[in-house]
Amino acid sequence: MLNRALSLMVLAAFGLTGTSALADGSVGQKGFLKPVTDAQYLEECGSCHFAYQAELLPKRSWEKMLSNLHDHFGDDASLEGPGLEAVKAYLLNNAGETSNSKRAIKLLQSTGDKTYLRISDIPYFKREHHEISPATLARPAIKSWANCAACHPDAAKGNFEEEYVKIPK
Amino acid sequence: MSKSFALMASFIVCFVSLQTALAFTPKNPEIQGVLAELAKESKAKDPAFTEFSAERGKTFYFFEHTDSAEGDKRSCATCHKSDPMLPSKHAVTGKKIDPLSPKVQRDRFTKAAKVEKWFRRNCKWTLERECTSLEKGDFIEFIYSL
Repeated sequence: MLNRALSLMVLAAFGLTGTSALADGSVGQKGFLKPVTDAQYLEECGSCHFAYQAELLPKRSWEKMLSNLHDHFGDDASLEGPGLEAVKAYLLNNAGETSNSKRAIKLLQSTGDKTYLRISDIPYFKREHHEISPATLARPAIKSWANCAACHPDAAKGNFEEEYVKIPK
Repeated sequence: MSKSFALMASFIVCFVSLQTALAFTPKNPEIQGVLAELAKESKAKDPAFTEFSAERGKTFYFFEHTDSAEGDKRSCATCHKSDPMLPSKHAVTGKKIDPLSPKVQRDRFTKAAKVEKWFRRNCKWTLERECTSLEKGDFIEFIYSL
């Protein structure tokens, strides 16, 4: 009886913590972020850098960033008119506060009362990447924290799960 | 005899025109419009202006400007490579950039607003100022000359 209860518990535990990713590494699981489908966001922002899912930052961060696009981390990324409105709508409607993803929620929680502009400055991001040395980061295939997809091949699908990480040599 | 000669001649004509077609990328109406506008501006600024030059565009493409904030040297080739026919990577983020050449990347220079937007953004990063209409026209002619 006890054995049976134990094995049931073990089974239940596996059911809860067992791999949450689908075989093809795509959407639909708790840790995953919603893949970006907004064409204008992909075009305007994703031409220069990985098109970060809006869930990765809170609304206040996106608002601050959009108000200063002419000096976007030293680059001029200025946008006007309908392009700016479309990007703003995507980011604010899908910001961290709206997310069901466990990673996005942890990111949001660890921002505290600060308004981060770089996702890589957020304490949860730093904790999750603490084992990546500056030398590893500097590898030509990686170069920058901005280059999510270098080590997270399914980043665009919203998959940042550890078992999918492949760090280029 | 004369029939086979005519056939051969037409083959040669076909071959030569095919080669010309491959070596020369025709400018679509959008980019023709952009160039006409840039030429008008250039002429207004300098009455001695006659036409854009691929040669000047090449010099401009490789000109290195030292950034006042970061101290690094920047040119068009920093992100677009010395051969614009090849794919490249964004110098800061590492994001893949499609080849700049319309011969390789057919959708290049097909939207006037997009061309203007990228000149605005990239001239500021590279040269810390906007590019002149002469520089933009020369740049486009250089890319099309490859």
